Amino acid sequence: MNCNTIHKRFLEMDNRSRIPLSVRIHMLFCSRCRHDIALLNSMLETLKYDSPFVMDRDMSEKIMIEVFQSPVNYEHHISGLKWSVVGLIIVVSMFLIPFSNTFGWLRQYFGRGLELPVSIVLGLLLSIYSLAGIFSNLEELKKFFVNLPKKIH
Amino acid sequence: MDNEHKTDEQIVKQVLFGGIESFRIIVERYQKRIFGIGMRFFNNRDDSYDFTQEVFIRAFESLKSYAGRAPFRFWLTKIAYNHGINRLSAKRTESDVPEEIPSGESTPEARHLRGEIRKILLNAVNELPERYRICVDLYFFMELTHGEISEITGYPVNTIKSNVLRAKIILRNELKGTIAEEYDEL
Ligand SMILES: [Zn+2]
Repeated sequence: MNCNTIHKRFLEMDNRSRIPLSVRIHMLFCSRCRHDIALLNSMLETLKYDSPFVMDRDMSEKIMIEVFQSPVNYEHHISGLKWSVVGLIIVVSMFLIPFSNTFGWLRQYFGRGLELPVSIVLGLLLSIYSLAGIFSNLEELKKFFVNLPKKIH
Repeated sequence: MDNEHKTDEQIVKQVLFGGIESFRIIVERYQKRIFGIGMRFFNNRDDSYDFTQEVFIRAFESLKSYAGRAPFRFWLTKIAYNHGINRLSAKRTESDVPEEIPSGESTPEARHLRGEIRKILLNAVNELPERYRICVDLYFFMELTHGEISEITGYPVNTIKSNVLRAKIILRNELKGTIAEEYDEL
């Protein structure tokens, strides 16, 4: 294959595609094509992060102000219902711990003195969980308690 | 990994998980190119700046609909292209504005080699039929494939292929002259 055909093949290449095998093989043996194609390739590379038109203003600040004012919000939020369901599961599993085999084994090993520290640790974990749940849902809770008297009446 | 090196798709995930500030990286990465698409549509800087802002706000507000199957670039370009078409048809009914020749010569940046290559490409693209110029932009500056450009613009893949090829040939022939030697010395 001659150099012109190789050039044409290279130019016909699509974005995000591999250089055809025939072109690569030719480039191994032809230093002129190797040079020309490398040059053209690096030129095309420099264009990637650009535009044919010069932008003389940085828009990012202006756009970000609008973005933060947008009604669309992607705050990662776990709903109160999910917090409560997971909390319930945790409480139930805590009550089931004394009936588990592992706990029975531990009790055999450490004696009855184990129950108090375990209860304290579990209680502490449950309190932390509840606090986290309450604080991440303060807005919802506020709404709930504001509307509660209306519901009762 | 710092944010600058994250892929678009990773940044989008971050935004969707509440890291809204990360959207700035997307803006910084693409504002020039979206502005370029605007210039193709409106041939007017003020309109293109407004267009750029509108495209990013639209993208932000519909970010949840980005399914992550295609590259984010493709999704963003689609929004930009559709918005360009709509905005243009709305504008045409308002008034027919005389076309301004796009200029990029006055800044110091243009004196650099990179500016020179860009100018050559701009000239090369200007030799193509007007309605296909944007396809060539999307190919070079948004790195979209022929198929993706066809999907966005509705032009046949072969038409896009041949126009991109024509631009590349013009570009190569121009480069063979002055710039190539300069580039060699770098
Ligand atoms: Zn050769």
